[in-house]
Amino acid sequence: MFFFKRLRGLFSNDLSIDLGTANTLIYARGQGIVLDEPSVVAIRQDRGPGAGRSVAAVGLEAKKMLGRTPANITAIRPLKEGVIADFTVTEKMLQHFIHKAHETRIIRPSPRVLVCVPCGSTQVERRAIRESAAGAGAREVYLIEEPMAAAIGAGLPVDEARGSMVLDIGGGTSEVAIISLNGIVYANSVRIGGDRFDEAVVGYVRRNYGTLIGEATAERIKKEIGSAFPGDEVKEIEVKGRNLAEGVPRSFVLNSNEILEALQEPLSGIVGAVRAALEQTPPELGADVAERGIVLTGGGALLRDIDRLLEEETGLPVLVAEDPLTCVARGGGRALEVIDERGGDIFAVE
Amino acid sequence: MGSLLVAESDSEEYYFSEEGPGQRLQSAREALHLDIGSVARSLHLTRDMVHALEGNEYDRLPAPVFVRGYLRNYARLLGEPVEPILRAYSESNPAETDGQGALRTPNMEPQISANHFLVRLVTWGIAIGLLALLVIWWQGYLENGAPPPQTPNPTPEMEAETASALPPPRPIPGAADNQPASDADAPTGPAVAGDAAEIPPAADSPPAGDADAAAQTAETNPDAAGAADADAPEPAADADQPSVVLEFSNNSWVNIKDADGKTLILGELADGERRTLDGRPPYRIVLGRAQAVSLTVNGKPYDLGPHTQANVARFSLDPENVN
Repeated sequence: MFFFKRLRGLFSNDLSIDLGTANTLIYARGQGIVLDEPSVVAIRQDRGPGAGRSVAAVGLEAKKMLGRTPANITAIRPLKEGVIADFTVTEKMLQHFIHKAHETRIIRPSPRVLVCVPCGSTQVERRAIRESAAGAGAREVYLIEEPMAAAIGAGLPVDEARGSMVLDIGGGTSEVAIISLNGIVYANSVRIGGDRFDEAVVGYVRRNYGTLIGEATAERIKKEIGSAFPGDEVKEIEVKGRNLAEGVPRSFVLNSNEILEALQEPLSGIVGAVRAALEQTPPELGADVAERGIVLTGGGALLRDIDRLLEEETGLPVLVAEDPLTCVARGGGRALEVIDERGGDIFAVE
Repeated sequence: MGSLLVAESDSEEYYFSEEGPGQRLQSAREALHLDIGSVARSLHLTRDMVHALEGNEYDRLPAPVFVRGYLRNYARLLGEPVEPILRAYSESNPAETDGQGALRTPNMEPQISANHFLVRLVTWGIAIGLLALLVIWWQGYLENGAPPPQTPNPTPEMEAETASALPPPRPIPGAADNQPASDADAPTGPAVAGDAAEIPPAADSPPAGDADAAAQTAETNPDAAGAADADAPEPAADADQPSVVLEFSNNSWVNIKDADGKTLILGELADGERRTLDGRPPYRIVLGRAQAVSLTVNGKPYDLGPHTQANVARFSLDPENVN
């Protein structure tokens, strides 16, 4: 059995998977990012007695179904706050993604896989991720902590004897870490991310407009006019939602200052985590960070002016990495190469 | 340096030197009447770092990821378009900006791990060496001939095979008549047969002689002992067993069973009849009229008195114990 897996491995690429709450990205060695899809699975409950459940759609297709499904289809996000909430569905999703990353191949792929895990995840959560990847057909599974992968992907000199600070704002969690000599000196994970931003927008609109909007609409609002720091320009967006008093859909206009107000709570949580990290950092490394700055990665780094907010709050230079969404997956891919060159004990946490 | 690169902007053309976008940032800052100090405060950088950015002296600055961030923030502060500036930086430092060079192996010499090439080579060498030794030993073992099988409990099939494969045992002088079944059934091969041949003729020996013979066989081959024990008593029952004779002086009802539960005699026997028991002892005997029966074991009369109640005798008789 093992022999066949190895044989199939010859026809498979090594993959680095950023198994995120919002999006799953796969980086294939030598090819770059080969897959970037939402971590959403639509499950169909088959009709008839004794009928089971089957996967109706995965990824982009399934995301379109979120909140718009009939009774026999459920569109779910199998990851919550960076960890697996539904083991079986995650396994199916990974299987689909791994297969999609090898879709030109005839032989069923059996790649070596490196999966990024939040640094705050428990042993049980890590094991679930490991077994899920193994169940999806991986030959070997390595785990790496997300901030380390993010730092490598952003191009931080993690191997130097100098402190590098990275803040990865993902869909479910935000991870802050200080890295030196290929190791994490301090890491903290707060369960605040893009999802919490969306929830904050939904809550704000409900409180102030008496109108209910869906998470997909909230995400669109956040992407288009969301900002973390008051700017010179005020943007507006027209949205439609169900008016709670009248019970019918109504249209209204939101502006960027309102969204800024809505996002205050989750943003202050992230700022608090960064402050705590700076407090806990040994002074030498703190000085390095103060001199060079904090690097932002993850989808949350795309929120307008979040770097300016952190600059104002910490008094340190804050820089957004190139292509922050793919930093973790790219960093994982690079780590996989290093593991290949120098053995599995460099970055892998297990 | 030498030639100049041209970058498109929204309204006008800017000139970048090959070394980077520093000049453009400097001219934009001067146009806004900002001094280095205020820019450094706004960007939370040191004045030296701002000087280095404007002078395209990137070796005085940290890793490319930081430089790109500083340039982006600086351009944004000055209200300049970010992309042309970053592009100019990338063009002036193509090697540094690919991001992949950032991860170097540390200066520490890594320990040799289990999957290191040399470790694997040595491990395979040892494994192959052991395998070769095993093959050499096995070949030698086959050439020198295998030792006699040491299987402690051969299966009946194996015994049958052995018996059929081997030549028939030599007839044992004297013992042949007395132990036909033993010879036929004994799955002991020539060695056992030879031993049996050395045994003194069983006909001359007392009844216990067979047991001795079996014991002797057992000493030479424990496998044969079981078979001999199992097979020996049946022929012995005919030849060496003490004879039990019943003689009737009157009609009597009789029920006699042997050790296997086989009924030897059942029914009423008439006056003057005489029977000899030939089953496997001990016998379970019921005599309906004990007074009418005289029982002899090896010619010696056996007293039925102790077993008789109301003229009916019920007892178990083992002729060997009587002797």
